[in-house]
Amino acid sequence: VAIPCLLGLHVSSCSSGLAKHFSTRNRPLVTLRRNFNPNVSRWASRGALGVGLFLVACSGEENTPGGLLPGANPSSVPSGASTSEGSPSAPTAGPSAGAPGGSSSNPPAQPTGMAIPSTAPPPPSLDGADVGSKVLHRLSNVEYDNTVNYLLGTSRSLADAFVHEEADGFDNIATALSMSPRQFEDYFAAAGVLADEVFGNPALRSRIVSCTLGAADPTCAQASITSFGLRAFRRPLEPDEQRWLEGVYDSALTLGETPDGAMQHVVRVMLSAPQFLYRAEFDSDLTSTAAHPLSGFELASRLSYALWANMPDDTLLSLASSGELSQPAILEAQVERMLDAPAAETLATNFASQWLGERHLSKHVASTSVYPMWTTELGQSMQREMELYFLDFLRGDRPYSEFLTADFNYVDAALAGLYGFEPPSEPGFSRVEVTNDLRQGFVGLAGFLTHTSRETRTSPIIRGSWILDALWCLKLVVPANLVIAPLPEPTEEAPKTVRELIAVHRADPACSVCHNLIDPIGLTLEHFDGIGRYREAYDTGLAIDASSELPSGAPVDGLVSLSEQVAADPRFVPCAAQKFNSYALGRATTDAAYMAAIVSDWGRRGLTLRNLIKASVLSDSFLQRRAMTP
Amino acid sequence: VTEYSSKSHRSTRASLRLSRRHVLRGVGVALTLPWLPSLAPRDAAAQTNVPKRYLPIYMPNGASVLWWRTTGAGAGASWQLSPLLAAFEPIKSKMLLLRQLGNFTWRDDLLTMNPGWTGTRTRNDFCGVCEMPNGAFIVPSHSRDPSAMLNCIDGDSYRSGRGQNPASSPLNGETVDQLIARSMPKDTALASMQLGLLDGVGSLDERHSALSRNMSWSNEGTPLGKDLDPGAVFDRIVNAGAGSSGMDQAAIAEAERRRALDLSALDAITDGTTALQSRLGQGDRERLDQFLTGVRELETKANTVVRAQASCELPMRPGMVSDAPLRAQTMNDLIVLAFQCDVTRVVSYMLDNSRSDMVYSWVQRRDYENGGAAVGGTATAYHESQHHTGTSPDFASITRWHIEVAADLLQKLDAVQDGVGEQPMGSLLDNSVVQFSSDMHHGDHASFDLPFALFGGKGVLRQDELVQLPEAVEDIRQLRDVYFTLLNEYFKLDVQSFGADKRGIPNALITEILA
Repeated sequence: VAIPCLLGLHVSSCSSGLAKHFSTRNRPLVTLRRNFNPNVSRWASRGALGVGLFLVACSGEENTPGGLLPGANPSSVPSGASTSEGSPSAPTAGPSAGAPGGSSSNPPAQPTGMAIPSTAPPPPSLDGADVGSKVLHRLSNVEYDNTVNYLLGTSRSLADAFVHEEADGFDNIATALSMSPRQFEDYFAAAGVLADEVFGNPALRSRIVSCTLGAADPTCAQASITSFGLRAFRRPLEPDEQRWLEGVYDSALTLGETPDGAMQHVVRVMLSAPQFLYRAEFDSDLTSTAAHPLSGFELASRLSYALWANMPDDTLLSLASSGELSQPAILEAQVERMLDAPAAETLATNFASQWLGERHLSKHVASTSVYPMWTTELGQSMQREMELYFLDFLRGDRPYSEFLTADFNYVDAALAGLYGFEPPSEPGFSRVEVTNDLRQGFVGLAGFLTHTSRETRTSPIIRGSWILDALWCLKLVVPANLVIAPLPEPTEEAPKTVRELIAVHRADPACSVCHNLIDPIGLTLEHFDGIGRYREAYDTGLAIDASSELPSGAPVDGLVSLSEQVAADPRFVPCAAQKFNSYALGRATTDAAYMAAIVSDWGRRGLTLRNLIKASVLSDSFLQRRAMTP
Repeated sequence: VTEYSSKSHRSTRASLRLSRRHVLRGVGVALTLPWLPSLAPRDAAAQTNVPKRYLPIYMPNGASVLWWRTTGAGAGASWQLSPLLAAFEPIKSKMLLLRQLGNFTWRDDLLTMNPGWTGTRTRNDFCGVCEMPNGAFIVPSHSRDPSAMLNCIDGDSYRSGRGQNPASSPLNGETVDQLIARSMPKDTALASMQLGLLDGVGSLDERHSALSRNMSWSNEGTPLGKDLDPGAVFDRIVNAGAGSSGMDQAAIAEAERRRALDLSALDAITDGTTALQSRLGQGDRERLDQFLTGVRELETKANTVVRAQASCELPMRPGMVSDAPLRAQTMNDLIVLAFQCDVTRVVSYMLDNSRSDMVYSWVQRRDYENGGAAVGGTATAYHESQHHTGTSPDFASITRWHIEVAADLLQKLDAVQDGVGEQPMGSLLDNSVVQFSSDMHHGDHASFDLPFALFGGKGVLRQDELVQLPEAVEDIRQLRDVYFTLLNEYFKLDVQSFGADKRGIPNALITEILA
């Protein structure tokens, strides 16, 4: 029996399937369940299956180990992780741990708070696990702007004009950040603009030069270079770097610049230098690929860019200098401090906004003829609500396992109108709990429902694909050999529901391999229109059928039961860990064993987002690195 | 993939003397950027050496079926434009429309192409699923196809072959515009420019954003990005020396001071980079080699004293124009300005990103099948419209809008004369090869029978002609051969091979396009 959907690391795992795939159309379709072994510890499978999953919709041979993700092969799954008994915040799965691979079609008794089995498996083994290497990491555009503004005291957004690059769902993936001649030209020009501004503004200049430059005090230039170098390069200057930059200063004097002009020249050079533009991490022995701890300064940078998308502040640099930052208790305290700082809001505006799609709302277009309520400002309110919803979880005690089932909203007047809530008594956003409606959780936020819709209509396919990718880390890859024919268009005389229109997908075996996963999820959200408004029926008068059966066999009907099922799936919690680690490390995948250990540690600490961040940055995959294989 | 040696590096610096009449013709189409004539030929050689320029214009997402509703074939009056292409009527006399051109021999999946295949579609209409008898399908991808548009290679193999992740690396093989740019005589301040008009967002089809939003790759494999802000484009033209012939002594001294500081800074950055490289592993050293390439290129620019080269007067600096039609006119004017001031001879121009889902709200829906009457409403999201069936007014109207943008640019290029008044060398367009094309046929994503037209290239390329290339699958002429022909016959570069053909078939001239 062919498994139409193989879990593979890469598209090439199905490259041989071309003719074979389409010659096996009549074979019975098997869902994902064969790839999930219910006997494997639920935690372990979470960790392993959360790692870098690509769902490749193509045919292959059953149980071909080479075609499966290593972690999905039960024999290679790290043995299960322990979790604290009875943790109230642990997520639930159906009675059979492998859902949707398990045979359960029963929804869990309650959406959250189910106890962990008392027979907790031992912690996952990290024998042979790989902390990973990382290529030289250029600052992303967001990081660049944050860094120069913090470093210099400016408030510019020069990176808006830079090339925008993204891959693997994030714009800070190290391998995806290139450096073309044009990009260097932009950085060089930006450095000139910034140096001009700083040395034209005494208040900004005094942050760099606090003595009198000139022949009377030759140490002033040296001292300024040393102190600015520590912050600009996020580590102390090496002796040869100090000499290099003093030489730059001298050469500018030789060219006839004033001492002030010469220091401005040095600053311009430093802001154009790779030591500033990249976050370099060093391996003392380039011939060894053994893991080793990061230096204190390297760790400070990893930490500050992960949590703040910005350079380390003086506290972090000081703890890096003393070596204390590498002590777990101090590191954990710093994570607490950093998450309490306003800068941690970038986790909402930069991390979650890419992970969960908030960012798309700023460019979203909805038709005002179909949706008269739609305005750009409403889109901005939706975006802000998504951020506030995430921040509520980040700053509060609510576990991530309730991310889809918590029943609160942040509304301003416009959103309250959209939701049919009482308008808030104060201007701006208010947190409200309205439990007598059919809206709940993240999936029920208007922003999510809108950015996954088309201009004039909902798209169950976009909604379903987004949920699979963002919440289960199941990325659907269009087979390399498939043309997607357009759907027939309904006529005004014979309107059809979207369910009827896309039924053709699941009727065609070539399409159903993916659409059996996507469409049942998306169709359950049809009670929410293209801007997230609740509706009883379609505008055509046709009734809405929001019932479906998920691949696990679980029946669902509408947003609430869908959200419960999605949150109960064993991929849900590990996927969040996977997404955060991709973002925090700037690389698409982390070793499966480390991911399992992080998820295990997160469960032990309780499933708040703070604890996810702690478990991630306290993992050796964050604290260590190794040289790349030569 | 590409082997070449340059046949000719002789200076072909153009004269920019323009008559008042020419200038007025040049701005007659859109008055967003009024420019004034240049005055004198720069050197005697300009009178005999005609510049050669290359301007590929990229239209994403294929073309509406109405693109192909041309009539007749051959030259002049024996062929007529289709309803959509009718926007090119004023420039038809310099147009060369190719039919049946393919760009797929870089793909493994099409190696299995069955010679007996005749296709299940009619080429002039919607393709549907282009299934071949043995089950092979045409690859649909809005990342692979556009990234092969100008180099005709498999970017995935290119990345894999360099140890890169095909999905997250932006690297790709050198594109033909860059091959031309680095092979041309080095007498323009900028080897090339990369411009973009719209920045529509859509799915990246599982690859790095550069593969959908970038058009030009250097010979080191780096994506060159593009300028979307007309003001930034203007600044590049100015910084390349355009319009600087009238600078006074104080301005020249200040420019000299800045140039010396630039060179000193770039020198220092090179030193610092080299020092950093010595502490890094091989892979990271190579990443910094890319960085150093950028430093070196800027050094070359700073070392090129361009003030005396260009002598054209500049219009006002444009700001960021949010209105799409006005921005298109402005960007078109800037391209003409760049050529007119001779700051570069190679420009690549993306009208929108691949798989853009931008809503073309400024485009009226029209029925181009029946005379182009408005049928109410404005166009929907671009990529979505691509998958509307048949002659959908949305997709046709958006395709038409791109054609109109290109037609505006072509007419402007044709309105400005290259060369000395007494001995005209023809228009800027005559001395350019302008390519207007898409990487896919239609909503079928097929990479055969591409929308593809060339303009200009006077003296080498046929003018006012519709060339029907072979239709049988095994005989389909490949895009790589068009580039091979242009490189050898127009740019006179001795290129032995260009692009990939996994069947092992060598390049061959497409003589049908040669005058």
